[in-house]
Amino acid sequence: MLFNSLHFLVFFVLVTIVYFAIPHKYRWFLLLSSSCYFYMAFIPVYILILGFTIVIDYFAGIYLEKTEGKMKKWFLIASLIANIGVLAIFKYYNFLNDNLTGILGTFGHQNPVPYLSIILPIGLSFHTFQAMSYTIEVYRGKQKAERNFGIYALYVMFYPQLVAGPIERPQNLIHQFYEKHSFDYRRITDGLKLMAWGLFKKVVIADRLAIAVDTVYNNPFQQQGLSMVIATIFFSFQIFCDFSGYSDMAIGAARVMGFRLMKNFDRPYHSKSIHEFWGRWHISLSSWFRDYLYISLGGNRVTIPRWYLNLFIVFLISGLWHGASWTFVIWGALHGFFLVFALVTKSMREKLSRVTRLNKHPLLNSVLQTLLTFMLVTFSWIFFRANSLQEALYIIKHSITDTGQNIHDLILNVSKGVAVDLHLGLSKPQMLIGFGAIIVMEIIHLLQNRYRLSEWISESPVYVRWSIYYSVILSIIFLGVYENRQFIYFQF
Amino acid sequence: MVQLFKKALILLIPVLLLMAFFEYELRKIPNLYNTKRASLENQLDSISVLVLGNSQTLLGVNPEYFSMKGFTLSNMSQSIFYDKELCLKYIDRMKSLKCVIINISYFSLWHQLHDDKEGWRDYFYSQFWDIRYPELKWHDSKLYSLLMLYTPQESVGYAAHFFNEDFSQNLNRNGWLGYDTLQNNVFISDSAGKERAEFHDGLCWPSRYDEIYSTLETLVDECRKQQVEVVFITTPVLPTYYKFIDREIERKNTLAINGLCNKYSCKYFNYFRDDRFTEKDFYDNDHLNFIGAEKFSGIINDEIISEIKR
Repeated sequence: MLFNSLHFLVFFVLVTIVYFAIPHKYRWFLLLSSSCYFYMAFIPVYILILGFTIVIDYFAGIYLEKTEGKMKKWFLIASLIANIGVLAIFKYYNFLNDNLTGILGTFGHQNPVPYLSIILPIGLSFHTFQAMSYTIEVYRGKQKAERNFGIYALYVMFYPQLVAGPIERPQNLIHQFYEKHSFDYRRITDGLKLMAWGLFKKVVIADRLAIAVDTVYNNPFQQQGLSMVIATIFFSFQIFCDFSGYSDMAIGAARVMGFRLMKNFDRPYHSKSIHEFWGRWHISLSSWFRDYLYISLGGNRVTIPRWYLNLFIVFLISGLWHGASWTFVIWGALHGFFLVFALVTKSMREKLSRVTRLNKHPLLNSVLQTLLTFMLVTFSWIFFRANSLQEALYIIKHSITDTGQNIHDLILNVSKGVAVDLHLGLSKPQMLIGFGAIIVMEIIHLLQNRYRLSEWISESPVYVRWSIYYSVILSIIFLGVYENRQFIYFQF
Repeated sequence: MVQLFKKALILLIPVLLLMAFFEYELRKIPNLYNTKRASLENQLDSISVLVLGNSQTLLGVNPEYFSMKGFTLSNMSQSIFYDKELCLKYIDRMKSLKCVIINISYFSLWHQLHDDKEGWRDYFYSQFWDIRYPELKWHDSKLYSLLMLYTPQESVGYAAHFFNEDFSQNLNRNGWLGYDTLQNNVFISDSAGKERAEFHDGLCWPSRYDEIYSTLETLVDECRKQQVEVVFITTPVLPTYYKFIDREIERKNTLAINGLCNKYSCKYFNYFRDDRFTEKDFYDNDHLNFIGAEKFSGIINDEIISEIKR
């Protein structure tokens, strides 16, 4: 069930009304059963996989709490193996087999291992990580084992964040299922506003830009360099609006019912460094990796080379988490490299800033840093979006070698009055709507930085408030692209 | 909660009214579906020959050249599922109906409209013919809203022209779509024919064969029960198309239709490789133009309808 569908609209309204209409003691059951329905709207049978890991982790949690010493460790390992095992089979088996075929092929052998004909269960990586977070926290003694099986199942399956996060921690979420959430007009309207904003980003921006991105990236060999550059920049905004739009809708839907989910995005493209970017992009995942992998590897309390290696490993695995393909591994490795490079060259860059007197112009300095970070992130998205490594390299090569000439030709044609078509699959008005919506979004981001926008809207006179509501609602309806496009992160 | 509902309602009423206005105006725009339905329902009593099929018969069979009153219910990409549903929806009310001509294209027995990129047409059948393909999900907004079906962007574009659009231009009263296509033989070539055949191969889903065959058999059976003759035809195509098709699919098609003909006493006229048709008769490699349509309709009249008349 997609958030941008009539199905979800009906589902959400019904579930929310019933939620507030029934006594508190039955609400967890309503949420659990509706979450099951929500998940089964994709591929019903896959709920069994989810059920399997829920049962394992539920009992693992109880035994982890009961036992001590080596036995405790074994329970944790068993739980992690079960979770990662499911992930490995459904997500990585064919990828590993592909590589085995390649290796054996170079030595002239055939791969005897069969491929699996399976579809990746939706949001598998998200709920697996959320489940692992529970057992690890119980193991570390930071979370009590949950005895109510229904509540534990709901922790993993809570429908707003089931298929694409935010990846919650048990300390933040489980206790909320026991709290009684009353009908709070202000909170509910805040949640609805957030959902509308998320939907705007998804259907007006992301799905519109997706048309251009798909046109170029699904057939790069027919495209010119300039189109590739534009499509790549579009992809930066597409993936942000797609994923942060989903997160906003998830957080908003939960807030309507009284649940507080963690923030997942914080204007990431305003970051001045890659390090800052990862503190603002998919925060629930980067903090998961920080808490459970980076710190377990020793974090920065090790020798400097080992620290760099730790960072690199974390990003390599983060790449693999996103997808079973070498393009994702390279995407992760690139970010690891950017981070390590930034650390290695820190003093050099500071010196350069002093020599060029950039440090005397903080605004210019910060604009340049933001632009550079955006460029690096956008460059790395090429690997994330390309259908293969070969295509990614082709796009990089032609973006570099052809764009200058393409811009020259473009200016020449425009000056002669010749019609220009960049073959992006978008008409001029569509492009204008896309650009306009991005600009509106970025202005809102800048305002969010200075003011509490949601409160400002709530406290504005009714004509201002309602004008904003109508602008958003009418934009969603009349400027939205409705092609049943899935959210990009559903595949992870 | 009541306060929230009240405010939401007040907020949404203008939006809903605006949407209702769009729905109303969009519904009035003539398209191939509502125009054809209106035409058909105006002359149900007098129709003697009904032609079913996809674009090959929509463009290639003009009932004007029949010696009996004919009507073509064919439409772009129309599958056998819709042939059956449309025919059976009206067969009881077509008192003069004597013959149903069913087009069997290379891919007809293997293709559900729902499976291909033209699947959006399913919603037009639902909205304008009240025929819902069973695999459509109840929660698909395109089933209920023309704004969603035409897409909001297109709808806003139509609104900018005061909804003064017509998507049924050149659709004749007898259901034939006449294109002035003499200039379009640039589409005729080996490479275009190969591409087209490959495209049609992609429409063939072996897993669909049994259900489509069964649908076709139901259609034939119902027609025969109503004492209506059933004739299968396959429209002519150019060598630039037929030399690239999969002979095995063609063999299975022929076998299946001959089997139905034997069982239900129908006839099959296969014009697929008919050399009476040359390039000047075609719009592209597998569609006749209006010259070819005149010629082909004459042949159908001479070889099929005249026989029925007797």
